[in-house]
Amino acid sequence: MQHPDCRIILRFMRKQGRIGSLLLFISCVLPAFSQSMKPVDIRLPKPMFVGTPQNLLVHNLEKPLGRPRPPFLAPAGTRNLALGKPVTSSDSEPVIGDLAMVTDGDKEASDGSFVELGPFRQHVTIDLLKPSVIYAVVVWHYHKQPAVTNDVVVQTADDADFQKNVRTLFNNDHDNSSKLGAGKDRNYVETAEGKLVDAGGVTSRYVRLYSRGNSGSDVNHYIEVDVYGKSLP
Amino acid sequence: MHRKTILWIGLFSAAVAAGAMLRLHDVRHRPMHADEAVHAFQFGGVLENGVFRYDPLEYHGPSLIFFTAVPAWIRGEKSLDRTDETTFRIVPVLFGLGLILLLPLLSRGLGTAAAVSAAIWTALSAPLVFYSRYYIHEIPFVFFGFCALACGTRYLRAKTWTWAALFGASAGWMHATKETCVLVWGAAAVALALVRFNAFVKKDDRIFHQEKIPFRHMMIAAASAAGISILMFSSFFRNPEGIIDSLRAFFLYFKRFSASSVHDHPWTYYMQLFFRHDPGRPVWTEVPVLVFAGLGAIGAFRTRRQGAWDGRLARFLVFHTVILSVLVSAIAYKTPWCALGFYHGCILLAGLGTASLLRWAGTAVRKTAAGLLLVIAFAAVLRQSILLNGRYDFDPCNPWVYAQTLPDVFSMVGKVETAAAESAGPVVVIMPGHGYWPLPWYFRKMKNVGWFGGIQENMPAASVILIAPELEQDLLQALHAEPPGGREKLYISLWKEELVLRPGVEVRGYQKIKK
Repeated sequence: MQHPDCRIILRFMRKQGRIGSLLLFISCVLPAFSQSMKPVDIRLPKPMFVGTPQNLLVHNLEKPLGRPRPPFLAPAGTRNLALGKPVTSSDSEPVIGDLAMVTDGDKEASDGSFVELGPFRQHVTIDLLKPSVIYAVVVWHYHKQPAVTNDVVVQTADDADFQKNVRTLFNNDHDNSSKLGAGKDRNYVETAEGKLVDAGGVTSRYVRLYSRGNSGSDVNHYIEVDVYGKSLP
Repeated sequence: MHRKTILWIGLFSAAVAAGAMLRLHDVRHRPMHADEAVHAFQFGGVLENGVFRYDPLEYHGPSLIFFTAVPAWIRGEKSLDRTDETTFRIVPVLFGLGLILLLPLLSRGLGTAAAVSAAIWTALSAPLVFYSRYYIHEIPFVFFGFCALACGTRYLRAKTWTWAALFGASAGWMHATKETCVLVWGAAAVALALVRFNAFVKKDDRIFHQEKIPFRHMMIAAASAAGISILMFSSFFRNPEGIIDSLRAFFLYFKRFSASSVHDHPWTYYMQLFFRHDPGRPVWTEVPVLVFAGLGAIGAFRTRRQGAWDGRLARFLVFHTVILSVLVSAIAYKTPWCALGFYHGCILLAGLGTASLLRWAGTAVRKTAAGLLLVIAFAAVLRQSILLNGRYDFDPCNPWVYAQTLPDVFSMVGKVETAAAESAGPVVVIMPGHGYWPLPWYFRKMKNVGWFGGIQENMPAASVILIAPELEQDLLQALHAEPPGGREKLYISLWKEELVLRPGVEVRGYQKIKK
């Protein structure tokens, strides 16, 4: 039994003859094929106007990794020793926020999550309360906007005044403008994953982080500092 | 003709010639800055639609865009594709030359020696040359500010309605160019008050008689200013909302300057621009201009009116320059071109300082020594100008360079054009925050380009992708997390080296593998 549509087509072909059927094929079927070969009309977005871009004028800048930082390997049992530990600073009266924010576990860049210290060279010092084996220090200065923090120096010591057994873990003050000695580490753009400094298992009680403004302003921001290691008994 | 007059005409002509050569030489050399490209696209919109729609939040007034119509019309360019860098940069070049050519208007107020000296300083000054080759609003804005000063000075001498109308029109053009005109007007009002106070203290009552202005002239000036402003912001009455927006802009800019921004810099920022030294690079300094401006400031207060220059105009220049520099330094939002307003005041004062030095020199021997000192200063400024506007015109060590596009852009564009020509698919550019400018300018002749501020679900299958490194992981996720994957979506690098759009902004390029 034939489908009703087929019967209609066959009846039409009988009526029109071979030439008529051919003309029908050319006029209806071929354009259908040619239509299928037309490029798809994709509406691409036009460029969006933006204001003056940021001027990231930083020498010796680290190349962006382009992917998440690879996992940092440390002995089992390593944890963030800085969480909730006391923090002191060269600027005891911050412009915004308070020093406890540096070790409160909040790594967001939003208002209320960072402490703003005054201009020029400033530092925060974290007392781990016990001598500890330190494997890594991770610092989040400010990542709300792309910025480069100037003269980042990370040190450890056995005393709060940084006189005994001082070791420098990271120093990107290439011209010694912070007067802590010239460093060879590279400048980097702040991101949400923070800057990881390999401490190599150094034993210390105090961790100090220096900075001297950033590429956008002369004040110093600290969102969070994590110190990964193990406390000694 | 008097021998001295011939000398002044000769020196002034030399200044104009030098200024023109420095401004016009290889004007296309520096890669387009993102701001230049945005303004060029705004002009492209006006070419296509015939209307300028003023945005009270960004991009400033319409005057720059409308003036660009003149070179485009002369060159017969009817669409953005047909334009090139010269069409756009010739506009600030002409306004920059105007800053030299209009100086004779001040020859009665400042004296011929000061006006001609100021012409030489203007012609050679590295920042004035740099921004005269830069398609942004700053040089036209400084030009109209200077017009207002010159016409205002001439009006106070002649008291004719023509000068009043020209003064008003200059103020109207200032408004139609940049919203920060209120800072210049505010500084001028305070400077005028200080000049009057100074005259009061010195019991110089001429100023009070001479500065009485007929109400009719005030109305003519106000009508000229309002007429120009309304005509421009309404885009010749085709966009009436622009008039209201131009007034709203003052409040919006006040809010913008109060909020934090990526352009916030310490109050010392502009001073740092005047002396810069990066390791391994030459020392750049504006010390010669500042020293002569200092001499001019001393001259402004030491000489009352002894035929050389009008002490009140000179003192106005000192007050205005100092107040404006304090105002713009107090605002956290800073870009190097915002220094031009008060820097141009320094240039005019440097002209006065030069005239003061020659006047104080007295004897022939001292005059020869002063002339020698001037030649050395002008030579140093000329050398710096040639370097900063030639070899170092995109180099981050140049203090006037700010978020400048680097020549890597030419390599990028060449490789993308070749790859796009080989395949029919679209080119997709993905940069966070739409930070891809000025690439739209360089790709303006390519029709099949999509511009994205981040990875989106509905992105077309591209034959070429340009992307910021920080978005690569998101792109991989978008390409390969969902089937079909495999060879259908395989891309290879378009370039192996690190290509940087501007300092700190790398762009990576990928081309789809052919089947």
